[in-house]
Amino acid sequence: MSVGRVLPLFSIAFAPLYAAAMYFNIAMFVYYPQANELHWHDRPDLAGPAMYWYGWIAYAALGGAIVLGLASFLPARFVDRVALRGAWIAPLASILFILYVIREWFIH
Amino acid sequence: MITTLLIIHGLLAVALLGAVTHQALSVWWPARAGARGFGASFRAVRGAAYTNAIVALYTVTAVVGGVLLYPTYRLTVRVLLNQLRLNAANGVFEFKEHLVAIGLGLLPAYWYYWRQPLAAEHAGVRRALTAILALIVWWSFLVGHVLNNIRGFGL
Repeated sequence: MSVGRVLPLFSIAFAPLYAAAMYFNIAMFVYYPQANELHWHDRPDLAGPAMYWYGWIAYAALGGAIVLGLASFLPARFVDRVALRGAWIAPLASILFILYVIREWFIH
Repeated sequence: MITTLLIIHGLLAVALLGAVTHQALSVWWPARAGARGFGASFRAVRGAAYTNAIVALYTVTAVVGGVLLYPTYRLTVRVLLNQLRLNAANGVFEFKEHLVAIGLGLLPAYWYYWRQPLAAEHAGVRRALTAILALIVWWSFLVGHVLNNIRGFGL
């Protein structure tokens, strides 16, 4: 099966993986802008805020790439059927989940 | 330097906003054959022609905003928003950061379903993906604009 055909599965996996990474704060790495340093783990001794966003994206991208690789072994018809609906339902559901998670910003 | 980058980010965002709006309207509200006027002309574009430009503009805009500008935002603007107790402003930006990330992940599927020749059986998913991407771009543009008005230039 061509790589192009399984591309939508990357998107299907990416969105919920990103939402999960954000919710559980599973970041591949952490960036400290004030110190301009990247670290694999939290470094509370460093000055300034920690930025997890890049680490969440990297985690979701890696997960999406793994799903992409595995999906290339699946039957084309199955991939097409899953991708056709999942490609937009998964991101939309993830967006709604994230909005629910961060609702505190708007309530208080 | 940051002000220059902010202006470049804004200009890229304007181009992206125009492209994705053209494309979204062309699939959700296509112009009738022979219709004239500004509105009909705006919608009467070949949506597929915008795809690569949208993917490139989205990626570059996200990199300029997310990699080059975002650290400065965290160190200066967000601190100010916290001090002013502007929680909603902080919240809308948080949502923007998550939307932009999900939009980045959406691009492979979006690009795949907009490949030419367009498959008729993909029309529904194309419409849905374009609508989500347009929503993300519009939200990000408006939030970026409003937050810039709160903090202003001269970071």
